[in-house]
Amino acid sequence: MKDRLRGAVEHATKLGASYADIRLLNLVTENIQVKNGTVEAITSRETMGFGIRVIANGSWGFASSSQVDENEMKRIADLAVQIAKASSTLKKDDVVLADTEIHRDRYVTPIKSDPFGVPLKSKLAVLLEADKLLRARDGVKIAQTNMRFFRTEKTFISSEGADIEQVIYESGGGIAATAIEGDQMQIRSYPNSFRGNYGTAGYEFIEGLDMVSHAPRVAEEAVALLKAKECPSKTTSLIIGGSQLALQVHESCGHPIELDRVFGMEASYAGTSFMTPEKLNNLQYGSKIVNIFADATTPGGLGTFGYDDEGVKAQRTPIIREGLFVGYLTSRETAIKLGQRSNGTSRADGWWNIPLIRMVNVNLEAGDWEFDDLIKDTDDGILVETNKSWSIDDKRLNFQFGCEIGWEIKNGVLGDMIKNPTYTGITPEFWNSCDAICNKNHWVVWGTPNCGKGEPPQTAHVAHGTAPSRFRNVKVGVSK
Amino acid sequence: MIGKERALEILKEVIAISDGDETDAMLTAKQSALTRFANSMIHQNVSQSSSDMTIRVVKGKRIGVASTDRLHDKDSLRNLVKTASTIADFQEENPHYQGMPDPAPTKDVDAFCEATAAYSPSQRADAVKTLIDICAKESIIASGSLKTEAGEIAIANSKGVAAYFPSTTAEVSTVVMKGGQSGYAAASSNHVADIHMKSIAEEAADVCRRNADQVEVEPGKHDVVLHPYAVADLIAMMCALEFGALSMQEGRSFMSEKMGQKIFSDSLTVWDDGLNTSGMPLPFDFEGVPKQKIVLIEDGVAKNVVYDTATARKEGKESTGHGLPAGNTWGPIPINMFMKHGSDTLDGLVSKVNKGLYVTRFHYINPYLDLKKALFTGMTRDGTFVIENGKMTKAAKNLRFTMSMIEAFNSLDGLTEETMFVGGWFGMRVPGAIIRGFNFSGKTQF
Repeated sequence: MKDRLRGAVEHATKLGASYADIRLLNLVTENIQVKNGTVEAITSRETMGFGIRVIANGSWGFASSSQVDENEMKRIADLAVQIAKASSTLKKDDVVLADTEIHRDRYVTPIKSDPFGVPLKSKLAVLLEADKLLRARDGVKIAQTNMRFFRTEKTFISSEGADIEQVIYESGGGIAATAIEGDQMQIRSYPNSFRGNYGTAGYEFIEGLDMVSHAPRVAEEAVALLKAKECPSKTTSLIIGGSQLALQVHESCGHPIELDRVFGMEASYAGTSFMTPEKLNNLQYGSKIVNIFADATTPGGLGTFGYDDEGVKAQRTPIIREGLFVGYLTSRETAIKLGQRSNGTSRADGWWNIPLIRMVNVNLEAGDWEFDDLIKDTDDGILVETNKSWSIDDKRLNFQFGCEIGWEIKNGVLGDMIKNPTYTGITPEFWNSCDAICNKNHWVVWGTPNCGKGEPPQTAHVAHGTAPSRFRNVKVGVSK
Repeated sequence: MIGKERALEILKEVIAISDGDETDAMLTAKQSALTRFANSMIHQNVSQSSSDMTIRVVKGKRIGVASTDRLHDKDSLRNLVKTASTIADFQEENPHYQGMPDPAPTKDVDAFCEATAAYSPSQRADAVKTLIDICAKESIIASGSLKTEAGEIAIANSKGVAAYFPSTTAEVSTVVMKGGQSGYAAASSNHVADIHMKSIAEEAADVCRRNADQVEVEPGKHDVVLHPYAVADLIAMMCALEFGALSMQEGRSFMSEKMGQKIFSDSLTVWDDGLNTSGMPLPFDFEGVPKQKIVLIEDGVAKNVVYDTATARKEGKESTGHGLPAGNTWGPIPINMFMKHGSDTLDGLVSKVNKGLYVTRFHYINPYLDLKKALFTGMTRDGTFVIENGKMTKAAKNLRFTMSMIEAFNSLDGLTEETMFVGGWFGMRVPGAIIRGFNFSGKTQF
C-alpha cells in the first residue's frame, strides 16, 4: 500500500505540484446509546479513504476519494493539481510552508484495554445498570447513558519524505437524567454534558468513570433542580467547575488563538479573532495566575497524538504565560508569516477533509488552591457546574454560558441549589478577574469530540485540562 | 453517479444476504466540490468523491446498525451485513420498535441539474473572481465559499420499499469586510444558474458600505426588523428541537402541552414540504417513506409535529416521512421548511418601526438554555442598524439577544411579501419580519 501512496505523491509532483502529501485513513467507530431501559442504538461504522493535498502554481488543491486503488489515486492526484491550478488564478502570493523536521515514525496511543475487544454484553451491562439507577428516582423522565469508541489508523506520506503511521484510540461516555414537570425541564449529567467525557485511551477510561456509582446522585440533582431557586441576577464572585471551565477555555481562548482564524481564513463562517498579531506579547489576556499551554502530549488527552496531519511532531506550546498572550496555534502555512515554525496543530476530520488549525489539549495550568479553601474564602458568590448552553460573538469577545446547576455561596459556605445559572462577560476582562485556580488534585482533562470549524464543516476531537477557578465581579443570571 | 437501477440493485443484493426478520439499507453517494476564499483570494479548494451504505438488521425486536464507505468489493458489503446482524444478536430487545415502513409510491421531483453536476474547478474560480472583483472596486475584502454538489440517495427494505432520488446543490455565502465594517449575502439552489455572483457581491458590499461608524446601543427590549437570513436562523433551531414527534412524546418540546392552542401571533404559519421545488426538495425520508406536507403552526396555533415510523405507530398514526437515518436517536425532524409571507417590503417593515434595530443575521445561536420555553441566545452579526422614525439611520455595534422564541414569534407584527430560500442543513423559504420588543441582554465591542 505504501508504494501506491508514494506513487500518488510522485504522480502529483510529475503533474507540476511543488509539494504533495497523501493521507490514507481507516476509522472504525462504535456507538452505544441507552435510553429509559432500552438500547436505542448500537452502531458500528467503518470509513476508509484518502486525501491528496498539493501546492501547484503556488496555490493549494485538495481532492479525496473512498475508492482506495491505484487508478483512483492517480485520478485524484490529477484532480488535486487541476484544482490547485484553478486556485492560482486568484492568488496574491504563493503558499510557502515553514520548514519542519521530516519524520519517519509510528505512533500508537498507549492503552491498557482495546475497547473493540471488550464484549458488547459487558458494555451494555454498565449502561443498563446506570440507566436503571437513574430511573429509580421518581421524577426522572428521561435516562440516557452512552459509550463511544474510535480507532483511527492513518498513514501520511509527503513529497518531502515524511512517512508516518499512527493508530489512535479514543474512548468515552456518560450518563444524564432529565426531570420534567409542567413547563420545567432540568437535566444533570456525569461526568460532563453532551455525552460525557472522552480521552485517547482504551476501555480503562470507561472503567475509570464509574458511571454506575454516580447515577443516583445525578438523578437526585436533576429532580431537586425542579424545586431549586432561580439564579439571581447580579454581579458577584463566580466559581466555575472544571468541565464548564474547559468550555470557557475552549471558546474564549482556544478558538481565538487559531492563527488561520486570526488571518481571516475563517471569516466567512465562524468569524475572526480579537487576538490579532500586534497583541502577541503585548495583551494582558488574563491575571498573573493564568497560564495556558497548547499541549498535544498530555497523557490521555483527547487532543493527544504523535504527529499532526502535516507531519509535525506533537508538542507543548505556551499560549498565555502569567496572563500575557504569548503564542498561537499554528500550521506550516500560517506560522511562517510570523517567522515561526509550525507547532503541530493542523488536523483534518477524516480522509475527506483538508487539515485546518485545530485545538489540541489547550490546558489551563493548575493553581495552588484546595477546593474547600476556595469556597471558605468566598464571602458572596455562586458555584456553577456542567455546561448547558454556550454562545460567543464572532471575534470571541462577548460570551454567555448556561450551566446545569449552581449553588449559592454565603460567608464561605455552600448554600442553596440554584437552577438555570447563566453568566456573561467580555473575554479579557473576564480572565483578568481570575483570582484563584485550584491545584493539581482537582485538575482534570475534559475531552470534547465535537468541535466544529471550517467549510465543508469539520469536527475535531480536542481537550482542555482545567481545575475549578474563581472569577470576580461577573454578571450572572442573564437568561431573561 | 451510481444511477437508480444499479443503486437499487446493490441494496436488493445486500438485503438478500441478511438473516434478519426485517432489513433496510440506505446508499448515498456524492461528488462535492467547494472553493473557499478569504482575503480576496482562493485559499482552500477541495473535492470529495464518496459513497456510503448504512444497513439495519432487525431480529424480533433486536436491532443492529452498521455503516461503511467500503462499497467497492462484495466482501465489504457481506461484512457490513454480518456486523449489523451480530450487533442484533447481542442487542437487548427494544420494546418500542414498531417495525419497518410498508412500501408506498414516492413522487418524482426534479432536483438534478447537469450544469451544477459538471461545474468545474475553473468555473468555480471564475465565479469567485466575479464576486471578488466587484468588492475590490471599493477596496472591500471578500471571503466566503462556493459549493457545487451532485448526490444520490437510495433506500430499500425487505418489505418492498425501494426509493431513489438524485439531486444537485449550488451554494454561495460571503462575508465582505472593510476595516471594522462587514456585510453578508448568500444564495442556494439546485441549479447553479440561479446563483448570481454579481448580485451576491453587490448585496454584501452594500451592507458593508452602510455598516460604518457603528454606534453602541444599550441592551434592552427593541423592536427589530429581521432580514430573511435572521428569520431562518431562529426557525432552524426550532426545527431541530421543537417540531419533532419524539421531542413532543418525551415532553421536551414546548409543543408537548400546547397542541391545538394559539401560542404565536396570527401571522405565523410554518409548514414542512419536501416536494416543493421552491425549496431544496427531498421526496422521501431516510426510511424511504414519502414526505407529506405538514403544517406545524397555522395562524399562530400549534397544529402538528412530524413523525417517523416509530413515533407514528406509537400513536397509531402513519409516518409523515420525516425519519432520519437508522441509528439516530434524535427522532423525526422537519428539514424542508416554509414560512407564510405577508404583504410588505423590507423597507415597508422598517417604516413601521419608530425606534428599533435592523438585523441582517444572527451568529452562534444556542437553543439549550431552556428547551420548554424555547429560550435562545445569540449575537447579531455583519450588519446591525439603528432604525429611527421609520428609517435606518446608522450602523450599530453587535448585541446579544436572550429570548423565548414563543414570546418572540407571538410578537410578530409584519412580514414581507417576498420570501427567500435560505440554505444550510435546515434550508427554508422565509420572509423578512418585524418582532416587537425583542430582548437584547448584552453587547459586544464591535
